[in-house]
Amino acid sequence: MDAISDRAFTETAANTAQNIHKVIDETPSLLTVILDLHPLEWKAYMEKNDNVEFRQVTSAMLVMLNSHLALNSGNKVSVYVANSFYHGAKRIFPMNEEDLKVESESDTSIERKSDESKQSSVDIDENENENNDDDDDDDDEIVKPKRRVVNQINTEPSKQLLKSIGIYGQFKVIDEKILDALDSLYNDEPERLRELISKDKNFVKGTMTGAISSALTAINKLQKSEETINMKARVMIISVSGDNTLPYVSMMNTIFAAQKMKVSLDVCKLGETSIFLQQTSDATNGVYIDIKHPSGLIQYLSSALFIEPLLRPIVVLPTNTSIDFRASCFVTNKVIDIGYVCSVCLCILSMVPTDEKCPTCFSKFEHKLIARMKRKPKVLPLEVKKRKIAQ
Amino acid sequence: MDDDDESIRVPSGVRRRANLNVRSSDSPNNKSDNREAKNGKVTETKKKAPEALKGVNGGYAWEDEYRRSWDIVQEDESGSIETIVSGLVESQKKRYLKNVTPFQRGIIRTMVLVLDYSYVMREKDFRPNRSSMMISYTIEFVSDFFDQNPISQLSIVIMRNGLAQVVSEVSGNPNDHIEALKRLKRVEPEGDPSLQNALEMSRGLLLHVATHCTREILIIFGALFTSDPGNIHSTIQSLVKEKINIRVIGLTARVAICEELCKLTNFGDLKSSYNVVLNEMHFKELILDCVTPLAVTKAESENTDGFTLVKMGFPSRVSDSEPTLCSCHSRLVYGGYICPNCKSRVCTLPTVCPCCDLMLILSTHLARSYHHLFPLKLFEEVPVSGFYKSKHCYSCQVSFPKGEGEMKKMRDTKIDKDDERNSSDAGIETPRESFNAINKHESKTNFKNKNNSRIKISSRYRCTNCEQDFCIDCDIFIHETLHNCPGCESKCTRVT
Amino acid sequence: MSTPQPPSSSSLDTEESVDFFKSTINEYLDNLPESVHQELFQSRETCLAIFRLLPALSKFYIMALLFHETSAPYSDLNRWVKSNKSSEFKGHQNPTKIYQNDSIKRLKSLHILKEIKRQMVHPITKQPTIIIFVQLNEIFRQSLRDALTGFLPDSTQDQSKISLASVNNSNKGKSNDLNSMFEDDIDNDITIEYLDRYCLAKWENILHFMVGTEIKEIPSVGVLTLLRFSGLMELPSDREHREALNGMIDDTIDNNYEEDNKKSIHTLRQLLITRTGFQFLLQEISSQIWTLLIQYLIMAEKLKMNPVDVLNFIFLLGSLELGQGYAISMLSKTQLIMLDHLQDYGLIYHQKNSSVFYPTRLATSLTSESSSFKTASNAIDQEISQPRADKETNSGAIIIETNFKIYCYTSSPLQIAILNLFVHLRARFSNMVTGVVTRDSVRSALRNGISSAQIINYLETHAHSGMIELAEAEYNKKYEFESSIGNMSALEQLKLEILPPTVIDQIKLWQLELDRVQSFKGYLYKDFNNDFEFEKLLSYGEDIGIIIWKDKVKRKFFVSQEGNPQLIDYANKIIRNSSNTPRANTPA
Repeated sequence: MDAISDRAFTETAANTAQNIHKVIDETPSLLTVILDLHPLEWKAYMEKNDNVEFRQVTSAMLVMLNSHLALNSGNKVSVYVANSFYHGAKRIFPMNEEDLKVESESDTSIERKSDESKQSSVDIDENENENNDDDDDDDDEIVKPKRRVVNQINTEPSKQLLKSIGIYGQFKVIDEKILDALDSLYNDEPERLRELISKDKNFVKGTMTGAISSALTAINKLQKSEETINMKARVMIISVSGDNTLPYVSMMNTIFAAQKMKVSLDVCKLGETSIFLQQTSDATNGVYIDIKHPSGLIQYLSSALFIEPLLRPIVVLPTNTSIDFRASCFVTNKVIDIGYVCSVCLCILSMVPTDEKCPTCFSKFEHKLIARMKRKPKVLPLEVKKRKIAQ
Repeated sequence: MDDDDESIRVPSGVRRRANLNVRSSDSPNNKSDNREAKNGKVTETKKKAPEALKGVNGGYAWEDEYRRSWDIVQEDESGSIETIVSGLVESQKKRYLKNVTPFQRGIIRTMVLVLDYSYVMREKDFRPNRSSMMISYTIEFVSDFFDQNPISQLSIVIMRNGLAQVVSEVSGNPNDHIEALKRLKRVEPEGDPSLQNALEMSRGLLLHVATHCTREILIIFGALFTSDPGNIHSTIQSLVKEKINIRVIGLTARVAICEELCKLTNFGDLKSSYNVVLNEMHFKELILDCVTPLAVTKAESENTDGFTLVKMGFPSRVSDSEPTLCSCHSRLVYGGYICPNCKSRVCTLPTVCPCCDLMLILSTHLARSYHHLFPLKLFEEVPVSGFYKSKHCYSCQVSFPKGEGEMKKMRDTKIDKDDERNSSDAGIETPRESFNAINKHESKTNFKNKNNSRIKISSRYRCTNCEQDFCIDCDIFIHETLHNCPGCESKCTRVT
Repeated sequence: MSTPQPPSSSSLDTEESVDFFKSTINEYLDNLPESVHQELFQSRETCLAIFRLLPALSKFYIMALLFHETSAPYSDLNRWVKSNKSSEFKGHQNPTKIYQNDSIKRLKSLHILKEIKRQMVHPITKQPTIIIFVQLNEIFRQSLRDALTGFLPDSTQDQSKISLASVNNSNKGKSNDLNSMFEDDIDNDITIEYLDRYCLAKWENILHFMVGTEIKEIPSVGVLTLLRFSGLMELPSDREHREALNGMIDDTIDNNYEEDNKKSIHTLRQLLITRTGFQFLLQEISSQIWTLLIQYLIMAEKLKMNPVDVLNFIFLLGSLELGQGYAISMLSKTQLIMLDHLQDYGLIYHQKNSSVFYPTRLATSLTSESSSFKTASNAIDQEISQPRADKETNSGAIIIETNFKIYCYTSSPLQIAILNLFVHLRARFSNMVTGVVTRDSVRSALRNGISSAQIINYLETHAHSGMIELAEAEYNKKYEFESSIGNMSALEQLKLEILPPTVIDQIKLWQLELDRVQSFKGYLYKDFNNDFEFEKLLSYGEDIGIIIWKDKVKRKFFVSQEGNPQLIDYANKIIRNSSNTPRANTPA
């Protein structure tokens, strides 16, 4: 009977478990998607897998964003692009209003914008259709002109819109904006690339870390602001680029920042395996998945990569437990498994520097030690080895 | 060894001197010694007053006029306190403005943590008492220490009953230390502390440490005396010879012998090496400050021998469905790490490969320390002007307050150009008066005068490399946690 | 094997659980027959709304299965969830397992998840085995997919879907059009602020009426009837009647409903608040609205309105955009009637003779969750507690100290009145009231039929953000500590303590003083054939957390009413297994 007599207290144990679950059920979260847009990598990737189209990836991503919004009315999404030549890394959703204004003014289609906000006019079908036509190749065909034509048709007979599909207005607006931003990106990319190639004193570096950094600052701001305090957040990275586009130190810094903030970084990797992104997701309790069959991307995005931050303690993360923890050499950027580490600055070197100075902090190394390291291994008789130890 | 006769023979008269200190002021936080307390003039103590104790006038904090917390909050003429709020945010930012010049730092550290566990630690001036608070902060310190100095090693020693006892041996595993500290919680502090014994013990522990590591001792010292078996000065001399850095955190008052100890082992730098806690928060700050690795001193960097280059392996993690024996403990484990050199399996990192003696480490461990070595440049405050180029923070995209000029333009049509009104209006709508300015002159200057000399802030902080503007929240986050500039990282080109 | 006894105790105790109101919409949906579900799933808005109301794990399951063309083995559902060893948990209660079972149960009762049994040949032993596969409801899956992807015209399934829809009363067609029937010539006077003020005024008016404040405008007859119907308020005559019958409220009201409908406003004016009414007041606004809507649904059925139509309209409202006008010409007859009704609650703004209606924030946030975050629903909560207040973020927030003192930042008479139910109020300032929780004040609340859990829940949901922050910091600290020393049992027991534990315990103790006897509805299992059966059933019951009492010596245990069907299922399975093939896959 004692189980019943002090019920007010015993029940709390079960209740707390329920309460925790209630919290899981009701806590809104932020999903940040970072889309790798490296044009050359995409091209290379698509040459290898001919059945992949960029539009599949974007539409799968949009479905994922929609699904996230559908989970909870408080949920938010944001989208960054990275590695594009035009913007480097940039947030394309939500776009700052003032930015939008500037852009729309330059676009000379202010009316269109206002129309959109009023009627949320263009429905997703048409976008998708367009993508069908144009967006799929990486040769940066201009998508915009056609698009604009469609828009103009749309604005005039508003009765046509009555056919639009019953989807939450929110979804439509968001998908719309993201597609717009991607379109404009694809317009400008080829010129920008030519520009970059012509200027020889610049070199191109990956901007994935920039996108993650920006995303983390935005999450930080969000979690500290009064209204959304302690909102949970996670980041999903859709990447095609290889490890050589990732600056090592800044990548590591972002990993630790994310770890400290308890933000999981999920990675959806198209193309070859990325060691650093594996390490990233491992350190932040995220999911790393190499997409073997890109056509089924949507299934990956809606199951394995769709685990809410608060569900993570409960759900088994579909992550490979074998992880390559190799580091990259600071000088040659090669990935190595045995290296030399400067005791002052901890920079990782793949070989002993010839001038016996650390290339990053310029500390001089002990000559004797270097000499010993450089020595070629030789097969010594056993006695000699003993003597050496004795010394 | 814990008989009193011994302690009386302490030659430097540490004990008497220390006791005098206590008498010289009634505040337990007072860390001035006799001499300083006597010449109480502000101008002269100014030089002496350590950073933490500095008051508004530059002298000791307790020499200042008492300021109530609500005095700080003052309304401007229009009755708004918004300006103050932005000022307070601003003043927080000042906290990390120091110490960003890239130093060479001793990243691979070996530290002995000496804890006072004598009867004075039963004192209840910290809640619940000194020892348990010390231990809880120490636990925090240990985890932070290994978080930021992943390849360093630590050992813990206590001073109890006139003896020095090892609580945990030198090791790089934070859990060992934390476990040991937790066990220590059940032990009552007892007897006298012996600084000399503890120092000798630590010296022994640090004796075999390789040259590329720094050797440090951190002492948390609650007592005002030490009862030693021999001459502590000779111990100090040998510590100096062995280039061991000693830092002391005092819990009660400044003690001359500690001062000497720190001065001699830190090349005369007392400011960072010897501090006395003011309150619980300060205690925590002090102890967590020690997490940051020490800068390599000039003398060391001109070291003729040069530094060591360490060969390290970066193993990969594997997972198997069947358990296998690890080569380090011969235990059955699922998965583990494979040494890239000899392919033997170890279960935890960092460690030294038991077969080929290669130091094995996760690259992520190394990477944790990078931000100490490559600190991000500080952002510059954008000077106040009428119009600003940037409309919103680059990274979080939150809009900045508009420039004065823009505001005026917007208002022009509506409000007469009455100067008085205009300035106060601006005050309400854009929080940009610096609170610091108010704070500094607060007691002396007339409030009205101050209005004219108000320093406006632009709320924008610019990275000098990429010339992007950031808001204060992002600035703080970027410098304290992220250590990356999103602006620089987001640019796809870099000038070689 | 025994047959379950009839409910051993039945009580119309005031002690209905706190979740009584919250879960009603879910319960209502669960108990609908499959055919109604099928019809409901035709509408994408409804699918999204139902999806949103599910537990997070159910949502995860749905998402995982949504784009899966074939069915998945049932065991996958288990595999996705971490299986902690149940021995680590006290009293066999594995919270994760309970949660998982709940999630799956919900999906099944909504007929979203279907089990298919298939005969398979075991790859190694070559013996035929029955493997249970799960699949999403085809209609639901299609609707949700369409909602998320935006209806690809080239897919063949959609064609069939359209025809299906047109046959089926063309619900979908209607809802589709709704989204696009914006009127270009809407007058722009109706701003979001205006709508907010409008709905708040309406809703507060009802609450004020319930509390008994003097108000100028008495809510309409429809509202009052519903309040009476739902048992939140009663007429003095009802009360006498009830007292005479000693607590048989439900039946009497049901029987008298037809007459009540004809009661004039003058009689209804004398309505008095009941115990449930008091409990109602302590709920969050979103659950208050749902409570009334559920009652409305029940009433609507009595009025011969099509429940699918009604539900679709309610869910549709939840998916509309605030501040947007929608034409009424697209609505069905039932929905037009509802339009009038819902206007009385402030869910909809509709000017007479206008062809456009506006959903208010109350309506658009119907499918959002009540949570500790300031989501849409909370935003109204705040607004309600302090109408037309400045943009103070912490309005209506309560701070309670360990010394039982309460500080509440509010100037809303309504919230003060609610607080007054269980707090001894001391002083009132321009934006704050202070008071003390005393034994007397709590007892008086308890006597009014408010339970301690409700008081605690109210305090928790309205806690000042500072208190929540503090509690979370504390929780994280403890969590890290316990996990660092690997104390798993302590980890499981950790909880977020927003309110001081002393206060919670004391309030509970005060309640215990009053009710010494606790009653549950449920079933007693006894007379087991053997120990094995007893143990097996008992451990299963404990695993899913439905055992209320047990006696191992006498081989008896008592199961809660909700959990009983599950246990019977399990028992039947055992019987079947023991008689049939010994190697069947049992989900557990």
